[in-house]
Order: sequence, then C-alpha cells, then structure tokens
Amino acid sequence: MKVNERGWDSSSRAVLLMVFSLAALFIFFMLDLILGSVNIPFQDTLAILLGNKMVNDSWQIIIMDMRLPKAFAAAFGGAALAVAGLLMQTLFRNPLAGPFTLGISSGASLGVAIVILLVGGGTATTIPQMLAGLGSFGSAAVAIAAFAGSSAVLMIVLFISRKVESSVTILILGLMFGYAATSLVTILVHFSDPEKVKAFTEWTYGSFDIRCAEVSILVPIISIALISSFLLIKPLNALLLGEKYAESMGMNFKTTRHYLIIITALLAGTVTAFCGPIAFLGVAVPHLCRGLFLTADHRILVPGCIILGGSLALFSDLVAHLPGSNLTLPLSAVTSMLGAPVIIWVVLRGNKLGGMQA
Amino acid sequence: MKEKPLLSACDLSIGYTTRKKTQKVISENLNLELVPGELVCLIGPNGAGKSTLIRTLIGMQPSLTGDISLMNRPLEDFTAMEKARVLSVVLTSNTNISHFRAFDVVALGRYPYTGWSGTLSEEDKKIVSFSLDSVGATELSNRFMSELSDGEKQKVMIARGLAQDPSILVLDEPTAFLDLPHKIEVIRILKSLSRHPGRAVLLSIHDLDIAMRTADRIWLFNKKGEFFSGSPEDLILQGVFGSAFAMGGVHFDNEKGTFIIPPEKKGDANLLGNNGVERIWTAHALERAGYCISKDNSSSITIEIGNNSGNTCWKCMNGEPEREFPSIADMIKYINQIHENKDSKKQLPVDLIDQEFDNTIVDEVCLT
Repeated sequence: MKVNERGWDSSSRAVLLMVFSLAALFIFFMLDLILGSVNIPFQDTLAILLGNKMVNDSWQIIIMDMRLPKAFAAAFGGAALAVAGLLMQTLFRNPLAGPFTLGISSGASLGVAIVILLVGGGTATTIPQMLAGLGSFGSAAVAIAAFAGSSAVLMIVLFISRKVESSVTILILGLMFGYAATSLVTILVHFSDPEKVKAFTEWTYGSFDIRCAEVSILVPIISIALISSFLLIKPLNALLLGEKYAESMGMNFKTTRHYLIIITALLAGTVTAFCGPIAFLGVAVPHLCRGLFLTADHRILVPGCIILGGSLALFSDLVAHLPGSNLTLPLSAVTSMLGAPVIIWVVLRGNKLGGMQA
Repeated sequence: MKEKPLLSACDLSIGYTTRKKTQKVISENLNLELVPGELVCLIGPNGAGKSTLIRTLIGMQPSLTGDISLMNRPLEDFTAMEKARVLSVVLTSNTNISHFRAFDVVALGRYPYTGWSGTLSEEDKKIVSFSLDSVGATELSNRFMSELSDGEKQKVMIARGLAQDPSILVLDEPTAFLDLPHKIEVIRILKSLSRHPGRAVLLSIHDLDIAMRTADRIWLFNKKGEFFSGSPEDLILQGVFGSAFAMGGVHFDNEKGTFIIPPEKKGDANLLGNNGVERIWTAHALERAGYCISKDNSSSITIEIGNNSGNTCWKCMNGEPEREFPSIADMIKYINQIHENKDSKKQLPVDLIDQEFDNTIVDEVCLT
C-alpha cells in the first residue's frame, strides 16, 4: 500500500511540474514572438498568427518571417540539445557529458571554418554578407558544411564503438577528436583575414535566427529523433545501474549504444548545422530536470528535458535579443550565463541526493 | 533421486584469449553442478579464477572450451532476455545512482518482463514489494539510493536481483564492502533465498569462516587453479583447505576450522582454577601471546583464575612474588614484560656492543 501511495505521490508531483513547464514553454514562446527590437501587442500577434490580414504589414513580416521561425528553432533546438545531453550523461554515466561530448560541435566547427575561412567571399563581415559572397549556395552551404563535419566525427566514433568495449574509451576518443578538430580550426583562423574570422566567430556564438526553409528541415528531423529517444526510455533506465547490470537484465548494450549515439548526433548535429554550437544548455537542462522532478527515471526526464530545454532556449533567446533595443547578445554567452548557476546549484545540493550522476 | 542441476559445466576451461590469439588458461577440466536448494560459496585466493568462473558461468565472458548448460539447455542458445528471466546477478561494482529511490532500482529488475517503456503492472509492483520484503528492506523503498549505507545498498541490489524472479542468483563478492554484522545479515538473507523451491544461490566470498558456516557446498580454487567441490567439512577432511590458502605465517587449523596466525612461541604456562568461560578466554589470550597451555602443569609460569571479593582476578606466579590482576590485558602485559626482560638480558647488550664496535672501525677508517 505504502508503495502505491508513493508512486501516486511522485507521479502527481511530476504531472504538476510538467503542467507548469508546459505553461512556461507556451508563455516564453509567445513572449519570443511579442518582444524584440519592436514590441508587438499580444492581440495583434495573436491576430497575425490566426491569419488575420488586417494588421500592420511590417508586423506581419516580422512575426511570420522572422520571429515565428526563430521561436520554433529555439523550442526545438533547446529540446534537442537537452535530450542529447541527457542521453550522453546516461550513456557515459558522467555528469559533465553533453550533446557535444562526442566531438560533434568540433566537427561541425571544422566544416564551417573550411567553408567560411577558405571558400567564403572576400570582404564579408557577417554571415549574411558572407553568404552573399558565396552566391547561390546561400545559408545551405554553412549548414551542409556543419552537417558534413559532425557526420564525419560521428562516423569515426561509430566505427570505433563497434570495436571498443569500454564507453570511457569512446568518451576520451570523442574528446580527442574534438581537440584535433579545434586545433585545425585554430590554424585556419590564424591564417585568415580578420573579416572572415569575425564571420566565423559569430557563427560559433550560435543563433536561433534562421529562415522558414531551414526550420522546415530542422523541425521534422528533430521530431523524429525525439520520438526515437522515447523508444529508448527502458534501456536508458537500465543503464543507470551501469552497462554490466543492464546487460545482465537482458539489454543488448552495443545496439543500444549505437542507437544512442546516432540519435544524439542527429539532435546535436542538426541544431549545430542550423543554429551553431550553442553552449551549455545540453549539459545544464538534464541536471535541472533531475533536481526539479527528483527522479532519474527517463520516463519523466525525457519529456521533462524536451519541455524545459525548449523553455530555457526560448528564454535565452529572449534575453539575447534585449527586448526594446536593437542590440543582440551572443546566444552562447546567454545560455552559459543561465546554465552555470544550474550546475553550481546541482553541485552544492549534491550531497543529499548523491549529487552528480557518476 | 538426484535433482536435475540448474546450471552445469562439463570439461570447462576458463581464461582469456589475448590479442595475439593465444589463450591464457586460468583453470581447466572443470566439472560442476548447481542444484536447486543449494547455497554455494565460491572461494579461493585472489587471482585464482573466482571472478573469471562467475563471469564465464553467467555468459559475460566466453569459455575457452567445454559446455555450460543452463536449465538443461546450452547457455549460448539463450537470448539475453531469456537468460535474464532465469539468472540474475549482483555485481561487486559500487552503484552510485543519484535521484533514484530504492523501489525504482528494484523495479529495474522487472526489465525482462515489462513492455517497451518499462512501466510496471500491478503484478510487477507486487513482485518488487515482495522482493524488498524478502531482504528486509521494505522500509528503505522510499529512500534515495544515495542516502543508504553500504549494507542497505547491498540489500537493495539483492532485492533487484530477486525481482528478476531467477532460478539462479549469482553474486560476486556480495559482502566485500560490509562490516561483520552486515556480512552475516546478507549471508543469512541469501541462505533463506536459497531455500526457495527450485532456486540456487551462488556467491563468491573472501570470508572463509562465513562460507564454512553457511554454505551447503563449497567450490574452491587453490593457487594452481585446481578446483574442488564438496561440503565444507569434506573439504577440510581432505586437507584441501589448508593447502589452497597456505602462505607464509598463516596456516589452517583443521581442528578449529579457521586460519590462525601462529605467534612467536614464547613457552608454556600452567592454567589453574575456574573451568568456565573465563578459562576458555584466558587460554585464548595466552595462546595469542605465544604461550601454550601446559598439559601437566610443568611450566615455570602459572596463571590462576581466582576470585577477589566477587570480582574475577588473575594471579600470576613465576618464582617471583605472586601478582594479582583485575583483567586479562594487565596479566598478559605483565607476562610479556617478564619475557622481554629475560630476552634483553641475553641478547640486546651483545648486539649493541657489536654495533658500536663496527662504528668505531668505520670512524677510524675515515680518519686515516
């Protein structure tokens, strides 16, 4: 009886929190549409979303062509990074693992660095100008380069993971690939024009300001990967006890590890391709979820990370755009500033609940 | 009638295949059986192959040659899921899980039975509660794993193994991190689990004493990797125990069934008086200090257990004036002093003189 009460108790807490986070997600989504360099009243925003053509034309363009894609990118991007981080933290049983642990962002950076620094047009100072310099390739060139870079890293990691038993080895190899790719990027940066370097640096800050066409690719891929991650809830829970126990309970560890790596790469790789390497969200949100929901059960953590990841990304985007001004802060700076206190909170609270997951 | 074994191995050899495809055999020609209702303790010195045997028997490591059959079916025919329904393991690894309650950990044991999301049915929940109850950990179910002591964690991990509803429960050194009372409690739990119809428990363990008191059967590796199986008493009578662990300074006492560290022999002592429990422990203390109890009271040292106005006291007579002590510790201290005094008269001065002599020579050499 006691057990049933407890079960009800913890799940009702989860449901309540889930409702709150969904509300937060919705509120931040709407605020992301309303606030910006131009603040558009709520009623008008709603009218535009509902297809009412009577409202101010420029507002219509701002919302439908700029802020709506941006909000979708933030919601889905944040969810993707958070879930990717969760999968890596569970797979490696390491509290500091994140979506980019396997070197995915470094691979993407290398790809983009090659395109922008080696190929990119002469006098470009920002990404749009640089893209103009690239001509018909458009923003697709950057996305493709990023995706190619992260896929290359993924292929190497997957190839190695078939031969290697220990997950720690894979973790270390991923980190080493990351360093190697970063060093190549450093060399490229060292020999490039300052303008190109600035364009590249801006890409590394990350940004959810992407176009409708890109969103229409980003959203379906991430949706598929997120749905797939739901199918791995049970093996993920088993992995909490470590791979040996998981195998002894009937799990096929190598297959599961393969799926986890592929899903993580899809999630993190897609976001990085379109939005750049956004720091810290992926590491911090899973910790935030464990702390809030007081559980390590992935049946709650996966949806929790999706909702909280989306909300936090929208909030970060709001802050980065400094509503009411024409300035924009680098997105990664904002996410790190929001994420670091979360990690500190987790570490300090750690003693009672066993702290970090390792 | 002989019961059908749950797990058996025939001509098994265990070990590793190295990278160069050469085989490192740890033990070979193993023939063993695990029958229902038994608690089997696997013992042997470190490095003799206990863990390798366990890993091989549960299919976590391939055997070099030989056949293992589980429930009368070749082990390699089992899928991971099928195996998980008849065999569960509790590993040595210290499990550190944050934000996870004991109940949830035990619930993971239902892994081979639940659907894609791992959600528990009412039946599953009952089995989880029952497993917690069987190890006496019901009151822990709501606590976080990180709040539990090592002993409590171990009970929860055993309950998790039990929730898999196994015919064979295999534990790799389940008592390794525990203090003595918890060791005994864990073994008691395992013994009661092995009495469940159709189930056997196999565990590796370092504590020979506990193994000998509880095991229905002992599997023993000696240092050479030779394997013996039998009841603890049979193995002692065959003299296998002593030879398996023989090491400088330690030997197995076949009468007492324990390992003893033979102290430096200092002589005999007569023990008089009181024949109750005081005598047993006084003898124990004297033996520990290196004195044998003289059988014909012919020694120069005599200890008498007496009574001084209601309190037990120990009198010591060795030719000098009789001394009386309120505790065994004081009495032993005194005897040791007598012994050292005797020694120092004989040896120490000679050594010292020699050393000083050497030093002066060295000094002279240096001067010249």
